[in-house]
Amino acid sequence: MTKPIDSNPDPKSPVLRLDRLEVRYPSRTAESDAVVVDGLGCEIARGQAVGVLGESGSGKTSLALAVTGLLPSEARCSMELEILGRPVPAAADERFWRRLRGDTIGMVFQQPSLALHPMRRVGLQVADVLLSHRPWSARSCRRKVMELLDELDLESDIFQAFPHQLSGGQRQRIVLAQALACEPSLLVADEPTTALDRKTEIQVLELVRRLSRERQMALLWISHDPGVLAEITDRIYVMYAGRWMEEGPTESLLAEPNHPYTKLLLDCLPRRKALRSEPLDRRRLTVIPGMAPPASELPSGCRFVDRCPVVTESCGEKPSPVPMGQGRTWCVRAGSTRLGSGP
Amino acid sequence: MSRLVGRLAQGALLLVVLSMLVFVFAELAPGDFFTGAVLDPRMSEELIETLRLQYGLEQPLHIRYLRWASSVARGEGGFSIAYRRPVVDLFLPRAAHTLMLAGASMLLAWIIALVLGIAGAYRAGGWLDRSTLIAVAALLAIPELLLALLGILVAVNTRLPLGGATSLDYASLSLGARLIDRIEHLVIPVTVLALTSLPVLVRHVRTSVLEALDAPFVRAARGHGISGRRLMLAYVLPAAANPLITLFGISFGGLLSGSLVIEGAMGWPGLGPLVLESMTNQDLHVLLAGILGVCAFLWVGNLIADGLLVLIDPRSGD
Amino acid sequence: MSGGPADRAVLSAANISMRYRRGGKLSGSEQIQALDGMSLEVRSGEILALVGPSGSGKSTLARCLAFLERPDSGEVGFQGEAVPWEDVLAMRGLRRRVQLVFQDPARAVSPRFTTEQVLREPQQAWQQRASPQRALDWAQLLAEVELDPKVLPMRARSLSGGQLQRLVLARALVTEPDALLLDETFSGLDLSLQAKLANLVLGLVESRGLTCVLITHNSALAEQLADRSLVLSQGRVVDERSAPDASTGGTS
Ligand SMILES: Nc1ncnc2c1ncn2[C@@H]1O[C@H](COP(=O)(O)OP(=O)(O)OP(=O)(O)O)[C@@H](O)[C@H]1O
Ligand code: SF4
Ligand SMILES: [Mg+2]
Repeated sequence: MTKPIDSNPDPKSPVLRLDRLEVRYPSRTAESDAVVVDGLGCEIARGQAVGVLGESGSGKTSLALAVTGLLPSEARCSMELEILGRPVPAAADERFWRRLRGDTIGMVFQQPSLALHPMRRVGLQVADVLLSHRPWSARSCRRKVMELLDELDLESDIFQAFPHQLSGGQRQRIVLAQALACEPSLLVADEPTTALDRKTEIQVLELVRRLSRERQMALLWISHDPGVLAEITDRIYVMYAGRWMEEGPTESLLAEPNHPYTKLLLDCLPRRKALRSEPLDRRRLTVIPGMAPPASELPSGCRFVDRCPVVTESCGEKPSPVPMGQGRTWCVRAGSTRLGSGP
Repeated sequence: MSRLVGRLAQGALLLVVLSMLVFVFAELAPGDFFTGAVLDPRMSEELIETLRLQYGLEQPLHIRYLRWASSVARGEGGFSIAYRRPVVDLFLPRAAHTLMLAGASMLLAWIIALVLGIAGAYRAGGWLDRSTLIAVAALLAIPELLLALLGILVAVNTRLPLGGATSLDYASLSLGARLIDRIEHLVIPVTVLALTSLPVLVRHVRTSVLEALDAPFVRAARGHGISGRRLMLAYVLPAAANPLITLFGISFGGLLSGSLVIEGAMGWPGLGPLVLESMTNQDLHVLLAGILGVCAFLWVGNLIADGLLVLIDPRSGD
Repeated sequence: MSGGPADRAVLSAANISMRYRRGGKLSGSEQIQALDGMSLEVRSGEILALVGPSGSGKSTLARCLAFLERPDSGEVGFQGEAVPWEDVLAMRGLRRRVQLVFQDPARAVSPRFTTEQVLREPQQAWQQRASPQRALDWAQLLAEVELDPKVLPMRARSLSGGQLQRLVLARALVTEPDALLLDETFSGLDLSLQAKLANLVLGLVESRGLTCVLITHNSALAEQLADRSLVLSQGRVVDERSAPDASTGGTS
């Protein structure tokens, strides 16, 4: 079985290079399409872990589906995508993608509880991935699955189990085993740990981090939780209403965000400690006033304009990226004035 | 196991209650088997009265019911006044024919429906899918009797036999020739009956498979590059099995009622004509056997479907 | 909030144990001790957080405290009196007064129901018996959870996650409960929505004088919202942390 994209071409080329990604869905009500992802680009080097931070509906899943060729048929998508230095043709069809998926690109989905077939033994579900990509016998696939289970700290008798017999954490590991079976160069994960409790979540994250180091595997990790991204990524892209707002190394971005949106978002984290017999009002969390614009009524300039506390006239134009430290910020005021985090 | 026993008891109870209801309704309808005989000039009033007495028709309802019940218990299944013999003797050979017809066409219809429905859903919107849908819509618009007529037309223009389940010289044929003879007689009725139930089955199979293709775990499997036959056999079809098995249970009923009509139109020596006749001449015990037989058949279909559902669900096992 | 009759226990559990049998080839007929002699009190008007890893019995405890499940042993109390499990009618009345809200709102409501139907469900079950004369004020209820009245005729499946979670909260309020149990209600939500819903719950606790049990694995959230936190592990309470008193200068 030949791969459409060789797994070891130029070792210096990034694992993923994405530019000008646009995803739109035809809208049932308005005549114009809903633009869900608008002109995104990013680059992921070998072994690098890149996170995408965004609220629900910001287009994170659409981004993940686009780079794996899994968008639903009604979606319209255009992009310039290179995987391991080789361009993905614009007319790439299912036959092209299905050899990449599971082999060069591993994929872990939102809602792991739904990602496993309820009527098939989980070990077989892992083996299916191998059988689809490797010319191996059933027996050697089985042996490989056993190795994987071991690597993921799962007991070998789990092979025979059905998904409903497993805990959330075990199920998530099985999904990971599927994604990692063919030792992909890139793992795309769409909020894979939201359904897990904190302890299990950390275990899974540490596991993925370890494996990605060992195998030099790149990560595209999508989440709405800065805590998760802090745990696992080297670099974060902040997404809002289909566009990047800010991008930079994980530590500095979370510690000193430059974009008004990132600041406000991080302010929503609970920080204060409650006191007994204080008015409950004092325990309120900070919120970002207003709501994200619906995909059919996006503002023409900065997408955050309706909720931004430091908005100015020039915000009506589309902001271009401003280099800030080791990252970039898509805000017209970036760098010029010190930004407060609102009143 | 205890669940199965429970279901069986439930079914038996159902049949008993049903038989009582039929008795009551037959009582409410005016007249009895001999009402029509009054018009026969050869029958005198006295003769009819003696016959009524002989068959116990003047007895009160509960006595008649108990007599019928004891006849069932003896394995006679009641007594047909029209044919003057136990219902079982009338019923069994015909029931065998009806089951042969219904079973064969069910098999045929399901095979065709599965092939067309799965292939169509796999490439939804493709040429096969579109032509199947058109054919199905057309088939749905043709009444059953017209289909039967078309079947007769085909039979006339080929050397395929029609009417009866075997040829007249069946008894003198060798074993192999007998088999061929039987199959030849089955071809037209089975095809016609299969065609009548096909549209519903094809559509259901297609939608079930389409839904299964859209299930999150099937999409996840595609995300891992699992595709083609492996995806279909190990992921999509098991996911579609649930609604299909339920439909399988229900399709028993449709086929049986369909076969009763087709039998009449095509001269197939099954239960259909007998039961229809018993209805018009109020041969109560035959009618009763027909109704209870149909019900039992439906109920068995349901039982099989439920059993299969339990069987394929990993959660129920262990 | 402290002192006086307000410190009375609304809900209590005395030495309750609960064991599940988990069938299956894999695990044999393994027994899982979900609750292992747990005792606690929920005081009137407080916000009590229950924190602990998954499998520590949080959700089982919540179901017991909502009178939805009867523990194998031990007693569950409501306002100082043991709950009469055998008395079906009385239990129905009690269940009205304690409402449990789950994590996944999509699973808690039927996707085909409209918002109005979702809200009518508990109303039909309880309101007639409780106070037949009073019609429910939809507009006010929706305003309380900050939902646009426009969603009333919309089907649940077309609501966003945030709207759904508000709807589920509104449904819990229909029966005018004394206590609200929130089982991971804020988990899996993004930050800004989590903050908005947490504030909403604070507002409800204040305006309706509710008692609130907050089950979460997010300890920062628990610390910000709750008067008291109980740490659960393996079916027992292993630690209790009270928020420092405002008057005695807990101004760190
Ligand atoms: N098949 C579709 N047809 C029409 N609109 C869609 C479709 N899929 C997604 N959308 C819309 O695209 C926008 C972005 O969706 P997407 O799933 O990418 O968001 P997300 O950031 O992953 O959100 P979440 O955190 O809730 O998963 C949303 O407004 C959503 O309603
Ligand atoms: S561009 Fe303007 S509106 Fe957008 S974030 Fe910057 S200041 Fe706010
Ligand atoms: Mg998503």
